[in-house]
Amino acid sequence: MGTTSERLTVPRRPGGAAQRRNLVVGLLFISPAIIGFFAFTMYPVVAALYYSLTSYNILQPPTFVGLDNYRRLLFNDSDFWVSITNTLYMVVIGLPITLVLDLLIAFLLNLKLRGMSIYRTLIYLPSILPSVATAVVWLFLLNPNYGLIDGALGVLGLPQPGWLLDPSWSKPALIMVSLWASGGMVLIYLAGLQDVPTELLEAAELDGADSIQRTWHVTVPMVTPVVFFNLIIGMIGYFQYFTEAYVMTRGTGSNAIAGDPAGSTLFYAIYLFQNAFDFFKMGYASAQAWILFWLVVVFTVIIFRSSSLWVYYRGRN
Amino acid sequence: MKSAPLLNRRRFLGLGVTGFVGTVLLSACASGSAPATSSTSQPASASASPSAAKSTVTAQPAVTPATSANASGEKVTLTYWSGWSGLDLKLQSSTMMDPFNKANPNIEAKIETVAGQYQKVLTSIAAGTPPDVVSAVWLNQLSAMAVRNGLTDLTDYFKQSKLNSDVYFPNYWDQWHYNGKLWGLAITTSTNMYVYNATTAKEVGLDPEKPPKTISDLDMWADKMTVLDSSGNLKRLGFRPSGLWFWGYVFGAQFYDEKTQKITANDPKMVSALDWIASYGKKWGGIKKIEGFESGYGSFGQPSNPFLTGIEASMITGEYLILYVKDYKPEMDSETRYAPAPFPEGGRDNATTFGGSIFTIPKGVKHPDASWEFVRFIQDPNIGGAFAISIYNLQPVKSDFKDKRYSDSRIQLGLKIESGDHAFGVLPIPVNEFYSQKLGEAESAVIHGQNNSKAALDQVTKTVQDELDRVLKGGASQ
Repeated sequence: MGTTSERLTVPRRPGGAAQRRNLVVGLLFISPAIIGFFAFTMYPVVAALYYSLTSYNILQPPTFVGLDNYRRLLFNDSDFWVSITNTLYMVVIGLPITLVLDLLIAFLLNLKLRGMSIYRTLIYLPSILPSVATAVVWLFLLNPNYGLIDGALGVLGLPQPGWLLDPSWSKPALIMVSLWASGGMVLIYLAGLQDVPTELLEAAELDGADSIQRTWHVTVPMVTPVVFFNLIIGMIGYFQYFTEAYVMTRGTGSNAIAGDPAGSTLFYAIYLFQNAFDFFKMGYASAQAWILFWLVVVFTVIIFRSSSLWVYYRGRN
Repeated sequence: MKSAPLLNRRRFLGLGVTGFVGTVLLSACASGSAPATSSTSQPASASASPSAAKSTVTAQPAVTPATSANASGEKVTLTYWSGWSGLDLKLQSSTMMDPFNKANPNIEAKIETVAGQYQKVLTSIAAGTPPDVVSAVWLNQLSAMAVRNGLTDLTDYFKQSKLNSDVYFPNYWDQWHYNGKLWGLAITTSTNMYVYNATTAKEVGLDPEKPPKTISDLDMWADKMTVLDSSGNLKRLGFRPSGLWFWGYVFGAQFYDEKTQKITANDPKMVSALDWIASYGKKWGGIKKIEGFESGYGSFGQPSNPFLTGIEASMITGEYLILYVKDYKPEMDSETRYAPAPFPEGGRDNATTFGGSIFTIPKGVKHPDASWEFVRFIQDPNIGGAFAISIYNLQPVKSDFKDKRYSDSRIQLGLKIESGDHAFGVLPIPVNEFYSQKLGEAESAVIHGQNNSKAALDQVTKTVQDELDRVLKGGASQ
């Protein structure tokens, strides 16, 4: 009684030898990651900013053109706007569908049924398969003539769309493929669902809430941080959508027309790739890349700002 | 009391900014320097020649046979990047690589495929580590790469070799040049002709000895040979045209005016061609039914080829179909007939287009003499020609006319068309790929009813013209 509390730690001034050594050791451990980050991520990003201000055909030194690439992209290139529209289609239509559907699947996978681990594995499996190989398989499935999907629809007497051959069905087809491979998002949702504190659910049950009310008033609010995470990650992914579209609708031949049919699958990243490697316009493509970066930043900031309205973090109000 | 952490927020931000600034400085220095393969900082003009000094290549001797390129006797490794793959690649090995290596014991030539990764070619040249020979450069890229200093000029090499330019089809020989310099040689090509099944034609009351000559004839043949089933679905397609790049020429259109340097994609004959192509999208239940039907076609080079299985009665294709017929369905041989593409009034008779792989030597290769020796060696009809015929192509040389291997009358017809006045390669502009992409987009849009021909082609004209002007004005460094 009456004693002041003992200091439990040896007082250290910042910069003391032991602490400095700790810092150096720590930095050494993460140096491969840091070096890799700067060499393979930061350097290309900054180089792209530089190239975006030049006209660069890869084979010859770049020539400075200032903001001309940006001006031409935004005001003088109809394909640029086509690619923005197509990509926004995926973000505005594909993303919500993916978010909601995956959440529903996660609810199903959270039920206490026998063999649930098998179902969970099956749902997750497609997301770890190589995307190029699965895209080729999907090409067969979506074939209007001999593909299984239209075959099944035909047996059921339903209309059989032309999928990748039909400009109005090509993007829905690609969204379908994307949904099939979104097991990762389901898994994250599942983790979030299992994290919902059971005492809240029990309390709600005691208060007389049925399962629907419990889900809507307890589970869903508790899961909003996960929805938020998936929303950001999913949005970034859809803005960068490339692989499936490249394999399935552009072909690898030397005379394949990108964006077939009728420009409906000319996505932003595909058009960027074309500009960089087919048309010798690396500077132009670099400007495209930076425009995309700012576009994603703007969307991300908007979502972040809105999050205070709908995301509930435990421990806060 | 908590001690101040060693790495607090301020320090972290400081480190981050330093790292960022360092990266900026690094990239400003690095990217400002020219890729090692370009000779000077000026845009390459067409006067670049093989003897221009380059930083990575030791001083070139005057063009001499490859055997003296390495007097010390050490083996030179030659990497050849091919656009072919699979079986074709194996055939290249046996018909080209093995004989070459045998004849040149001081050179070891290796073949690699870059099929499906053609961007590799561009990036490898830019990085200064190009392959020694590459054929994954297509005719429509040749001038684009030449004008941007990506290829080695072969004019002097050719002049000093024992090769004779007369052996080649003259229009091909022209196509391999840009700005008066030779940039590559091709050993494979094929002609686009109208192929039809004589038995099918006879069945529906047409005379197989009188193939369609005009577009209206062709329309009639297409209609007559098309069969729909009771629910209105296609069972057999008579014919469907596609490819504005081909039909534009057939209809007599001019794609580009060299004198005024103007893109003329909205030439009225081109508009007619596109209108005609689009008109087929309204036949037989509409474009969706037709494309759905066509999507069920098997692979062209397999027994499931739609012509072989009879679900497509006629098509525009090359000589190589004959040899697939002989391989997979020899009983169809006598009924597989070829004719020049039908053309409308004001169009071009015996018209065709060609493109294909060109054997080139990138800029900045380590042993240009050895590279040239390889390109020269395969010009022999028993080497390069043997490969061509093995993949059902032709070598674009006049000796084909007397060559036993090409004695079939249908192939002779192809040779005649291919070497004629109306065989068109690519345009003398450095934006061919861009042009053909825009044309393809326009064709797709119009066929699917999203635009009309005139408006679509006006747009193509403007877009490609802007691009061409930009490249020509900025000098070849664009």
